[in-house]
Amino acid sequence: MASAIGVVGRFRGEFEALGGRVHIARTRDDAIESVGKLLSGRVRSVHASRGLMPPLAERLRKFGIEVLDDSRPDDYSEPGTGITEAQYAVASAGCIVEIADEEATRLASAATLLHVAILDSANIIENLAGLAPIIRRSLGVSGRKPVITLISGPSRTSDIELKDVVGVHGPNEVHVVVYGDTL
Amino acid sequence: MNDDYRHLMERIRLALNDGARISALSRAVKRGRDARKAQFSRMENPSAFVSEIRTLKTGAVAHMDDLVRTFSERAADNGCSVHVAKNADDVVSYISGLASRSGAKLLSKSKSLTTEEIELNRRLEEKGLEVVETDLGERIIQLAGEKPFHLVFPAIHRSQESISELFTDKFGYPVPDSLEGIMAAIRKELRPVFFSTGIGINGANIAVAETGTVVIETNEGNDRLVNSLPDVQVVVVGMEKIVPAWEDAIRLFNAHPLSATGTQLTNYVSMISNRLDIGGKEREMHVVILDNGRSAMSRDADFSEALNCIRCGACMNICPTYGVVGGHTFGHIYPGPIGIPWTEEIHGLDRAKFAHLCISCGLCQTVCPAGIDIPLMIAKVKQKDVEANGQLFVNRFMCSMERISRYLSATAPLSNWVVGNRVSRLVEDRLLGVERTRALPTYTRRTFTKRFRPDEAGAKERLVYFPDMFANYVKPEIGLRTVDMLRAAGASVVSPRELKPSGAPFFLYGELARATKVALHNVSVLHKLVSLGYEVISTEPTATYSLREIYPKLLGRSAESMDVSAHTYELFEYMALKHPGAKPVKAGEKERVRLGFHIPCHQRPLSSGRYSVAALESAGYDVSVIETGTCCGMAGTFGLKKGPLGAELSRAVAKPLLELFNEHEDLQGIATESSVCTMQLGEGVHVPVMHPVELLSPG
Ligand code: SF4
Ligand code: SF4
Repeated sequence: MASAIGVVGRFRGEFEALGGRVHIARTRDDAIESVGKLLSGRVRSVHASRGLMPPLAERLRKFGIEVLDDSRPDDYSEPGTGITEAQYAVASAGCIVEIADEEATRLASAATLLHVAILDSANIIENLAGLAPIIRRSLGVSGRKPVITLISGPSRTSDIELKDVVGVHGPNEVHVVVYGDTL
Repeated sequence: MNDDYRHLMERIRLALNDGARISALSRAVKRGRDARKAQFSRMENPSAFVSEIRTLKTGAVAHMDDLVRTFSERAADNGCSVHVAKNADDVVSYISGLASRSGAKLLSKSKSLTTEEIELNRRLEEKGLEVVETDLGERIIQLAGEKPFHLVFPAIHRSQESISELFTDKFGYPVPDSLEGIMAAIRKELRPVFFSTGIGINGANIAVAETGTVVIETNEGNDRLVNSLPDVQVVVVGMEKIVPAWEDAIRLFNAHPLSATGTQLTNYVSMISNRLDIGGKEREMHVVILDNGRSAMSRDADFSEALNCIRCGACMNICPTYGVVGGHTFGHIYPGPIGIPWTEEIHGLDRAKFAHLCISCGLCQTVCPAGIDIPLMIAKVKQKDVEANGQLFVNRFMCSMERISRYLSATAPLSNWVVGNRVSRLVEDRLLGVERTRALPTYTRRTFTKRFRPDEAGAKERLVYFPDMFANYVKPEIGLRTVDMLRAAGASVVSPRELKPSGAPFFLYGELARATKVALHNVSVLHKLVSLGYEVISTEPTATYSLREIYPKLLGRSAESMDVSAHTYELFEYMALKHPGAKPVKAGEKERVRLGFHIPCHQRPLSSGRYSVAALESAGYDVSVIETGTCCGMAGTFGLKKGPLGAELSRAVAKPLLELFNEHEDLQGIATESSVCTMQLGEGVHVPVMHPVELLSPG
């Protein structure tokens, strides 16, 4: 699937141009393994979105990393590390799309210093126009609607003399591990 | 001169005296300008992009009431409390009510110009609440007790050193003068604030009626903490920001950063429909939709277009005078070009005196992603001010320049001596307000009108030449050579004596009734000829711009004005389109071959000079377009006026452009088509400045 490879490459190029890092894995399992390798020796514990939990917690334990069980906003008061799933990404804009059902997921990518997301390569769309149906579908659920966030690399500012700095209130380092058959 | 003017002049002078601030600002605006330009030049069809945004926003503003209704219903279905607030008091009592109900004393806020508009922080503080801005730039100006200097970079006027001093003073411990030091301090200070506030207040960039969702854009990610951690979240959104569908919202959250900073997206784009669960606690979301004059504005045909603004800041990045004095002088709360109509409409005419800083260069409109006709709205604000508070004497004098020119030319050369001798210059300076160090044009008795002989309408190709003031009274050679060039191409040329100069000063000084009268007159003279198959040619960009762009606006796009507009050309544009084979040759001194080309602002919406450059190049000149991307600052008669609202500001605007020209030491001359740019450049460069027509002869 040449076009899919093209789309991953394009996403990678754009996301890295914005200061993010992209890693490639074969399967979802490999992706989780890569997360462990990436963090091994660097962090002792992580926040993670619930959807990733059982396999993630088990796998990370192997690397000596504990997945925290967070239930209150205050659990995030110390800036740590967050692992989430990026449901989609947009190649042309170099952003990941986080569709969060719980505040814990948002905080894992917002209140941390280091954020790692895993992403199925089949869910990388070409351009921003493709977002409309995705947003509509996500918000079409009955009951509580998810919060959708487009994230284009680390938190940044140029408020001081126009000098670019990363890591203001959010992560200064963002990694995306892309996996999937389409690679 | 009334106090408001005096106050404005004082502010300008203060701004002009702060060299460090001017250079910080000019770096900031240039970066924004260049980034936007790079993005737009990569676009396949930038004008389609602009017209899409324009159509989308115009439609949304036209249906504002319906959109408020739909959005409110959907947001309520999502579980939000929606409140439509009439004015500032209404918002303040709503939020302070929430605070007293929830017991919150500390409120955190993420960047929101809409809440600045109503001075929400000050008003909540008066009620005993503490509000902390969490965007770095906003926090800096909040601690300093200032207003935003720029829409996108609110604290751009402050140096790193002054920020470290400010933080040291306010935080009570030494904050080093380094980026890392400042960032560490702000993180340390704000982290606990995020986690201890009871109410988070966010501005929203867009609200989407379809699903009752708000869209919030930030680069720092502070909004995400403000809207996730506190138990109560309040989103304040301007009524004009609601769009019908997600397709619209996507276009806007893409257009906004493209035009502001040249990126595809703001770093974080959050789409929030309700609170999410954490710890099983019920948490509230309130959406306050602010009217504060917007409904009235949407019904005002003169100003409703201002509601199309997507707050990208591009207009302030290109505005020549804003780029020197900045938002504390060129702004009340809303800064920059679009700040003028917004201030007049929201905060009142009294606060909008800074409208007179606009020199009607027209550039803001050329970069606005929503294609807003900002210059026309500004001219209307000036008109309101002139009607309510009177016109400056010097502006009245400048508005009679045409009559004066006629008189001076009729009595030349004696008049040139009388006007130009040292004693007279002193008197003119003191009494009339004409800056005495400016070289004045030398008038000729043998005007173009006197020397020109019209052709019989025999030829198939019939043209009207519109000389405007300069080519008539000062340098008739430009007009005569133009006519030669057109005749050599086989056309017959007329130039009716009853044509009046373009009337640009009337537009500049807010005398719109007089501007409209001139427009009506010239259009009716020209339309008679256009309907006989004539095309209109001018060599003065301001005149071509007036005929093509300004007259139709002033005349409500009447059929006649649109017709004349469609048949008006710049000289070299006409030659390139109709006579691509005609090859003018180099005139005069053969060795003068290395030319710099200056694009006058009024030529930018026309050809940007590309046909003139091509003609010069094909005649063998080596031409480089040299530009800062903004104006030379002369702006018709503006730069001739004495003082801060004239020559002083005009020269400060010119400085970087003149430096750029002077850096090109190999230039042997400068070509530009505008007579006023010629004066400004002529004063600051060491090579002759000429009209391209003076450099060429018919082939
Ligand atoms: S017309 Fe020119 S001077 Fe006036 S506001 Fe726009 S950019 Fe500034
Ligand atoms: S008026 Fe146009 S250019 Fe200026 S901030 Fe608004 S949208 Fe941007």
